[in-house]
Amino acid sequence: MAIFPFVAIVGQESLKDALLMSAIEPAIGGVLALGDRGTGKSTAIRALAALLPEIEVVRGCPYRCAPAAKIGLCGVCERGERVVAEHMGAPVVDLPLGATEDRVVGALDLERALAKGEKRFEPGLLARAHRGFLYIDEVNLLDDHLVDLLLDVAASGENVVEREGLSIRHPARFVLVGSGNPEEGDLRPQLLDRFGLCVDVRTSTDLAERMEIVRRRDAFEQDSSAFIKDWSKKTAALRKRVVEARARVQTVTLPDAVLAKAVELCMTLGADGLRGELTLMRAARARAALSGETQVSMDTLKSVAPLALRHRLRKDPLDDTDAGIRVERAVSEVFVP
Amino acid sequence: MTAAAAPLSSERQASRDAFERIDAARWGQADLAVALLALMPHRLKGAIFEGASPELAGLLQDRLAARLGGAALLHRMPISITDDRLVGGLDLAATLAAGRPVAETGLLTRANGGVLIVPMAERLRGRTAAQLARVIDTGDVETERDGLSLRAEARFVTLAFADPDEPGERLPAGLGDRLAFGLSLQGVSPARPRGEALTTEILAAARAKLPQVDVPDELIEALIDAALRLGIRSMRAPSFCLAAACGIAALAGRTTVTDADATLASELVYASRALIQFEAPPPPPPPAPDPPDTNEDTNDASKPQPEPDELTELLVDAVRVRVSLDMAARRQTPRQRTRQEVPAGKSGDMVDSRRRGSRIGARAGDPRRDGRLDLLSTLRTAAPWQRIREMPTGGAVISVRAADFRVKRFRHRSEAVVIFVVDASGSSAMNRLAEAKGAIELLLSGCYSRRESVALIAFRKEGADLLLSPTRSLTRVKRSLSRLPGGGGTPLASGIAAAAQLVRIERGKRKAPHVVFLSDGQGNIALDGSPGRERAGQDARDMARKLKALQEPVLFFDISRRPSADAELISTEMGAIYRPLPIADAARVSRDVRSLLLD
Repeated sequence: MAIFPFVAIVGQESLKDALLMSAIEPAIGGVLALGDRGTGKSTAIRALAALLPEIEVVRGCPYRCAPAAKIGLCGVCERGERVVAEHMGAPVVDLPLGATEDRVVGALDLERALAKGEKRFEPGLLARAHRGFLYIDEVNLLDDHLVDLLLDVAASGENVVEREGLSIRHPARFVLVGSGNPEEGDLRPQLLDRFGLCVDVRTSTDLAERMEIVRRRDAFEQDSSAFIKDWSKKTAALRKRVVEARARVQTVTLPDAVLAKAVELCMTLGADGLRGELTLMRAARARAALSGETQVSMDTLKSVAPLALRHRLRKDPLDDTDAGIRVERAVSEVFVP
Repeated sequence: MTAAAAPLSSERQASRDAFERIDAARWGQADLAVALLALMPHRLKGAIFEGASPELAGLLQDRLAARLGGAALLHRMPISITDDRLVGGLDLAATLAAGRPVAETGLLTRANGGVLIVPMAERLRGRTAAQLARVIDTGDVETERDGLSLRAEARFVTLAFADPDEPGERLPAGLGDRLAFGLSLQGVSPARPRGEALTTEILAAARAKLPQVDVPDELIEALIDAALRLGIRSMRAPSFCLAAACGIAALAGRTTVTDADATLASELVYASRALIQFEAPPPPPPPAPDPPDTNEDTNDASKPQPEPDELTELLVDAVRVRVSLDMAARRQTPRQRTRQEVPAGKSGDMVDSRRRGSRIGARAGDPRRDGRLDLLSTLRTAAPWQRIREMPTGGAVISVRAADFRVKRFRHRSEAVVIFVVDASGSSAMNRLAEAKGAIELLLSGCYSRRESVALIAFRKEGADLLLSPTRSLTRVKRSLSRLPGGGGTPLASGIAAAAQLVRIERGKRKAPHVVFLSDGQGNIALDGSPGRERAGQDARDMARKLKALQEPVLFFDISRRPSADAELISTEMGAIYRPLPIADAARVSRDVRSLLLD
């Protein structure tokens, strides 16, 4: 199945930004995309696989350990026996709703067990998503216990399996991306704020933009390989930007004045805990790195605030105001010149 | 009606003729939709037909299969299909026979290249619909189950049939959005369809012509603009409409799409998606088409829309006409299921809670004591030890010991649905409805890890209406309750009957219904809509007993100023917990519902 190029997606700037920021700085903690149907949420996320730079892995390692890494390796790579490196596409694992727990966390290899009586661990989807993205469409329909499990692993970066007489732990660091339509059922609040960024995805109501969307979609469906080729230059250029930003992101500085504003903003909004501030900082750094800056400016902070904070506000069931608007209001309050 | 005695007035005859012509046209459009699906199955994905009789449904399926080359097979999807049947899993019998894991293909994989039939689509579980929607999007099935990891192609045409209890009942999880066409066949009689006119030659010629079909730019613009003005947000709809317009031109042997093609395509694609309020009786002077009212969004409304051009207006009007015709047909057809008394509940409602609800995994345990044996997990546990265990005699291939037993874990309580039944009659209606709305919102926003859904039935004038079908979405509640009707007589009996019916429907979906009444217990409209306190009271008591027979928890808030004997009586008849509520108080209602019913 051909994948619609990320760079050919019209509009949806905040969703694209959120995904790119997470690709640059995975510690942001995942993206939740909520919005109407037919807005291209899934298209954007699935398009990441073809956009992101390849990763270097140890050949034969089921957990895709990085050859150059010193820490966070799997049991075998830790002993340093394997050194042959190879390249592979960045993993973007699409978790099907019907997946069973044994395939998500990994389980006993049934074939081996039945045929040879051998106890061997068969890695699951969490292992496959290591160093990449794990995507759940319609996250509100996934069984609660699976969602909790995914969030735990995403936060700790390690998958611990204790089942069927197996005791295994392996690294599983991935960016968790969920999408859903609030009309199909709201998400539990404690689930909401465990995603780093939250995007409110809406369809454009601009006629020209909508025409462009339909035209590109039509061209893609008519001849997908030609369409992908037409966009390959832009794809390569964006890929280069992501690679450069990744190299730069740890050196982006955060001036004290900007940090103070970030803290003030979170306090004004009553966002619980420190997660708000941390996400805000990391997102601002990633955004700055993406636009080639070496220091986080006030404008950058302002631009990422709705993404990082909109889902952390205290909920008032009788207040209809859109959360994004509440964040923007607080931004204009805090950033009075 | 005694047609023989008095000849039909010419006026009525004319109106009957008109209806027949319209019905013929509606069938013609359904047939065209199926022809287009045969022409471009991968672009258009499928159709949803509402209210189609079994004969028409069968005819549509057969025609589609025949047009897809005759070899295309029909695959029916049972609404209660389990995940492993849907996407595939481990074939246990074959696995044990072969001594290694053998996969079993799921329905969606088998449907590859054929037609998937989804009957009763309105009752499809959200989870099943979401999985189907994803396969329709990607064209392949990913199975990650029972130690298997498989991927297989699955491209098929989906024909869904829905028979909504209430007009506008929603299809779950975006299935409708993924299928190009949505058409109502309500009231179209099976005798009407004509023979097959579409020959294989025409279809083959159209297929050859399709790549050359050209759409004028202004037509594309009009199609997209029309979708926007009809309040259709999804970007899939205009894409489908554009493709359908091309298909219609190709079928007619043309290489240019005409305005008429576009009009027809808009009717097929947009009518079921349009967000226009036709439900309310049309106001006497029909106001000029006022696009902003279809857009609830504040940011959309602030943007002044330019005047639509002529072509866009033509398309929008065509869709509006189509929508109002469908509405009229719905009113004409007697709703059999609403009035008909369903036999009192049985069919496995009383399943032991250990065996009820959705499976959430397995744990060690004794199947005789702890519930159902999870055969797969048990075998999985036993499997590794086979080499070192002594083989049992008697030809057994696997040795299972007591310690290997695993039992299924189910979600303890099945999902609760709280059905609010609210008296919306008289002058205080708005006040009461507002309280009910407040209580619903509080209840929904308060249920964190809980997963209750909420429905609202209001009764007033001659009958009861389902204002909000069961939902968990606060967003939907806010949207659909923003304008509530009120006033008129008090058809209490109809309210209770509607509640009982919804209870049965929800039980059929394996939910646990709870009913909450907000009423003073004094009906003055009988079940058949006629006024009169006595009949009304009798009917209400009859219905109350029927509700009680369903044995689901009911809570009755007496909203009269002073607690009344009438209310207490009816409350007792329905086996409800009685609570006087002289002062409207949303917070108290929500609190009582939680503490008395749910916990």
